[in-house]
Amino acid sequence: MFAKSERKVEENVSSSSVSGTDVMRFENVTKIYKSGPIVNYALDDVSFSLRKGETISIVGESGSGKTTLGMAAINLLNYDRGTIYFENMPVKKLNRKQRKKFRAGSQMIFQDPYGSLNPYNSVYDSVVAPLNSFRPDLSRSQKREEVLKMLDKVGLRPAESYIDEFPKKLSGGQRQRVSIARALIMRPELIIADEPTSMLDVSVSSTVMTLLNHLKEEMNFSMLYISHELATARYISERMAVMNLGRIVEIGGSDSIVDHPLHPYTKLLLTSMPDVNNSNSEEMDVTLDFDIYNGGIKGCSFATMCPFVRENCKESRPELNKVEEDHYVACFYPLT
Amino acid sequence: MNDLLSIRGLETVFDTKRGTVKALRSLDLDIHKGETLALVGESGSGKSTLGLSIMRLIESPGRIAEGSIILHATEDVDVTSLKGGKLRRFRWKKVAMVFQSAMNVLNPVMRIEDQFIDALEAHDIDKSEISGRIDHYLKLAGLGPKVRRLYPHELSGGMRQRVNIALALSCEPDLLIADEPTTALDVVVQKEILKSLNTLKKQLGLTIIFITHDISVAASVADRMAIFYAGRIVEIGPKEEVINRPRHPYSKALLSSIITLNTKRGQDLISLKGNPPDLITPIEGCSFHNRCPSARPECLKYKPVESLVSSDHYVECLYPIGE
Ligand SMILES: Nc1ncnc2c1ncn2[C@@H]1O[C@H](COP(=O)(O)OP(=O)(O)OP(=O)(O)O)[C@@H](O)[C@H]1O
Ligand SMILES: Nc1ncnc2c1ncn2[C@@H]1O[C@H](COP(=O)(O)OP(=O)(O)OP(=O)(O)O)[C@@H](O)[C@H]1O
Ligand code: SF4
Ligand SMILES: [Mg+2]
Ligand SMILES: [Mg+2]
Repeated sequence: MFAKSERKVEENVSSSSVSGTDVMRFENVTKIYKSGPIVNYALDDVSFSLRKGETISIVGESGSGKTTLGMAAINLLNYDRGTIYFENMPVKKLNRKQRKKFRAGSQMIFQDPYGSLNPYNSVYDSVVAPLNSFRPDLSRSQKREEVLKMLDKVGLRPAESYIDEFPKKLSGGQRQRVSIARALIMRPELIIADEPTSMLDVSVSSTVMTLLNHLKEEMNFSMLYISHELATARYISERMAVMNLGRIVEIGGSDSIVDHPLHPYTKLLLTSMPDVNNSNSEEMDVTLDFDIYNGGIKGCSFATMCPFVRENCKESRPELNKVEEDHYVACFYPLT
Repeated sequence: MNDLLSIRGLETVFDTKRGTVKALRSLDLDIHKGETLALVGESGSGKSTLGLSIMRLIESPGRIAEGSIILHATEDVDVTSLKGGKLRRFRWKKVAMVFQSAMNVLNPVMRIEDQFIDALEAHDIDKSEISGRIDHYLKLAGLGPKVRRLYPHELSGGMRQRVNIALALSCEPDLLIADEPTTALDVVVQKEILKSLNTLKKQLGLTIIFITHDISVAASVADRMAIFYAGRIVEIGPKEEVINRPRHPYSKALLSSIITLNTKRGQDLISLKGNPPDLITPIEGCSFHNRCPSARPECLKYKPVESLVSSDHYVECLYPIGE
């Protein structure tokens, strides 16, 4: 049974390498939250694509729209404008069968390993859930077999001794492994990981990152990795998209972005990172303006803080422009 | 060395149904006047417990079971035996703390200004002085007088954290204990707060204990660094020493597991297997032996004692790295 579904995934991969399709594509996606007189553009005309087998990270500060983007990607959120495509089909227009395939093929790993597992469900119950929904053809023993295999894959070994445990007996890192096992059991094409390690200790977090890295190589899924932390983002992803107040202001290869950021906001993030060797002495002279959200900004989203701002930055919106191979920036005066 | 505080043989325990949890196991520590000492270590290692013990804020089911915390003032006082008015004057005026879960410290239905007035009046600060102090400390923490009239929910997380710092400092303590003051914040705001702490330290001659599990943050603020493991300090020394030449295998593991911008993509990260020991059962030998890459049979038999490895750099290990 499972051999069949695995083969299917492989076919997808090989056919894609020929045609080079995107797993997911956002086109001009806008999400507006309204509360009373307040209008908040949590996503403001967001466009990008995620290629097959690649990991792209979404970085930016709190409130920049990262989680909103992840929720939209997995179709847990109604957006106001734009289209999201899953394997070239608009997600909102999928028929029942396609929608089922989409739901099985796109899975989420959440930030809070303590909140995302039901305390009354055993490890088996948590991990088997997607199989119950999408593979009614499997017998109980086949499912158990599959869960054991997955637990072993995520490093909960020996799997037999974890399968009947309850979350309260597991450490944060072990819980996050259970979440990963649940997300991967359908062999999805797309994983959305929203700050999967931000609640874990450094040493535990590094084991989870190493694990995710091995799994993505082994299982060849595409991943949207959401984080406010640029170092882990660079570690796990080939490409990076930097968000500021609901907009993607820079997107490109992770190394190019870290080594020579083009957007002043990206540079601000990089120069603000604490760093072990204290070599980060470069300072950016910004006017901090925290309590803001995007209430429909006419010009550049960073204009109120930017040290390089000029009149036209406040008047018209800079679009994402290609500056070099695979590196785009939305700024009228990109850094050189 | 000019010390502000000397802690000896401190044991803070929690009485639970399962037994007595020894959160601090006979801990010794001297805090130098005017330094920033960073305490790092994994979750549950006892960092907050130490801060709360110094503040005498350990509440039932917890208690300080053993040891002394000597404050070197005009005359030495043992903080563990302070009571009543003396304890009240010690707390906040000698030592103040910014709490780990600081988001909930401020009273939601009180204007910021009134929270200051309450705190300052409780510490017998002269009424005529109060208003000036509020402005002064808000400013030092990077906030304008405008926030005085605001309620906590009208401030962002970063601003609230600054209010907490300003509030803790307004009683002009000698020692500030900052427990994960920036953990919930973004890098940009975090950097601002670390900068204001540094300025305050210079301007006020403040001594700071900075608790964090983020080694990069510790490295950017500290003069000295102490590594916590299972209720004890296993390594302490000047920041550059501990970071560049860690001598305890746990410190080394901790340092090599962090991901920096220079970590090669996809490279396997060094990480620790296993769990820290249960703090209820007495620990035989070294508390790290079950996870230690350099452990030998002796490590299970003998308790390592603190030894000097280089100037002002101590480590508690039978086989320190590089020896
Ligand atoms: N359910 C909601 N109702 C109203 N506003 C919302 C809702 N969810 C998010 N927002 C707003 O949308 C914006 C983007 O929020 P989002 O959670 O996507 O940010 P984020 O980048 O994930 O931040 P963080 O790093 O803090 O998780 C914020 O201004 C937020 O206040
Ligand atoms: N009220 C309590 N009752 C029982 N045990 C407690 C209590 N408070 C703390 N402990 C125990 O004391 C030990 C030390 O906890 P502490 O909060 O000091 O750790 P920490 O180093 O600050 O961790 P973190 O990084 O998670 O804040 C832990 O084993 C914890 O379970
Ligand atoms: S567009 Fe203007 S305001 Fe925006 S980042 Fe570039 S220079 Fe700064
Ligand atoms: Mg989020
Ligand atoms: Mg703590």
